[in-house]
Amino acid sequence: MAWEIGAFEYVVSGNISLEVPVSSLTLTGLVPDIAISNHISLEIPTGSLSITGLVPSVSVSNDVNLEIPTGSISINGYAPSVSVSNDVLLIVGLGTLSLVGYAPTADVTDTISVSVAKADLTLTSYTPTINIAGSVSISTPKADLTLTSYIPTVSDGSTIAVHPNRVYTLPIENRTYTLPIENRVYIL
Amino acid sequence: MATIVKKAIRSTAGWTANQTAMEAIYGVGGYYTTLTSWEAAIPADLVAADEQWVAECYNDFPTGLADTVDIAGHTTDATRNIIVTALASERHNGVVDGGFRIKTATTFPFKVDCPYTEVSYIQVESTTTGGLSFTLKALGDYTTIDSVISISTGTNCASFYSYSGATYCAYMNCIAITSVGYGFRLLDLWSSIYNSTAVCDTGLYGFNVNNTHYLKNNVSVNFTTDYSTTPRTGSITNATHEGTTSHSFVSVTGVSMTDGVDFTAPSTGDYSIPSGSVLIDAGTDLSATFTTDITGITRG
Repeated sequence: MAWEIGAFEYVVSGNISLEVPVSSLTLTGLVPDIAISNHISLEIPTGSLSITGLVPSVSVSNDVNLEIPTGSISINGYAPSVSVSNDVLLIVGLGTLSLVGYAPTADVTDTISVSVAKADLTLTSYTPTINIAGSVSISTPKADLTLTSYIPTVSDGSTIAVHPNRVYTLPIENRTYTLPIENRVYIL
Repeated sequence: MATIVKKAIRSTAGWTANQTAMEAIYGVGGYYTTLTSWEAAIPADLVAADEQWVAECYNDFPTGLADTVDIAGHTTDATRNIIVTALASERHNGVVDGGFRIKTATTFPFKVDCPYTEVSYIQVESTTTGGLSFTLKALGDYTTIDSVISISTGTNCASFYSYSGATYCAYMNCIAITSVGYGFRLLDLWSSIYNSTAVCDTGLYGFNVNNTHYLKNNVSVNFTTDYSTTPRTGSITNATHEGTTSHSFVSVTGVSMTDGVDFTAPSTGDYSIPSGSVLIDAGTDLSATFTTDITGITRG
């Protein structure tokens, strides 16, 4: 077992700043995966992070700041997913976070703040799903939270609603919608 | 098993804004706005009360909590003791001013004079010249100080200071920052100082200890004297910035630690280790004693 000198452990998955300033970071394969954890700041100012494959996924957890000021994260595949948990601050400023595929899912749990300041959070395809549990707030002051396609779902763990071919938009005003939303679905 | 009495240290606004969640954890009205008022509520005899008191500090004080803490006058043992800590979301994570902190213009912002006290994940700062920011007094035997950042300033100051009398204390993962004084100036006996860092502008002593103190895996940067020449036999793998110290127990020598290489961003208070640091894998395995670092992640 290797120990460091000083107060800090050095770990590849911790205390890392990963920046994609003007270029792109691309993962392609059957099950491409990015796992981000432990006190990490991931910024995509103007570049892009693209993950393409059968079951591509991004998971972020434990004190992570994930900022997409003007760039984009694009996850494309049969069942693309994003899961965030444990003190994650996900900020989508002017950029985009999009999941495209047969059954894209976004799982958010525990203490998470998802701020979609001016851009869109978009899940597109057959059964897009957002599962929300814990103390989660989704703020969309000027932008849209959009689920488009056959069976879009916003869920607090159980399925709240299934309304085919509907667009759920939680936008417009400077209000913060906190989900679960009393077993109701906002349809605008 | 002792009853754990857990209270929050946070502002009234912070408590009120999260009242339902707070009351579920700490009970109705289960908070104090200072550690001093919390300490005053602790029973004099925790052993007789069969209680362990825990203060969980919240990062509600943007400029630091102006408090002068003195933990003293309680009868305790190893399981019925006093604990001061900060939750994972409220702590500094090793970065100066990154979480809950006490900042006050007194000589002793934080004193411990009570056995078996445990203090972790907070920051303490004295802005008074000659301040002794974290002080261990004579009755503080078996005190554990884990992942505490302590800042001191001015002539004769010390970030961590102990009086003679206390014994068998443990410092681990601590960061001592001082302008011109001492990082650690310890007069207690038989204590261990592990994986701690002392940095300064033009300080006198990084680790000023005696021959009963174990020093392992520490870093001392820029002090006139980084380490006492005669710590306890068995001290090992302590590093210096200059790479010129030749004490026999300093096994990382002749390697110049350079700001920006061995610390991520020391100018902004980030003393974490970047890739390429000579400190990586250079320490002694102390997992039998503790297993985490200052950010709470597992070592090794």
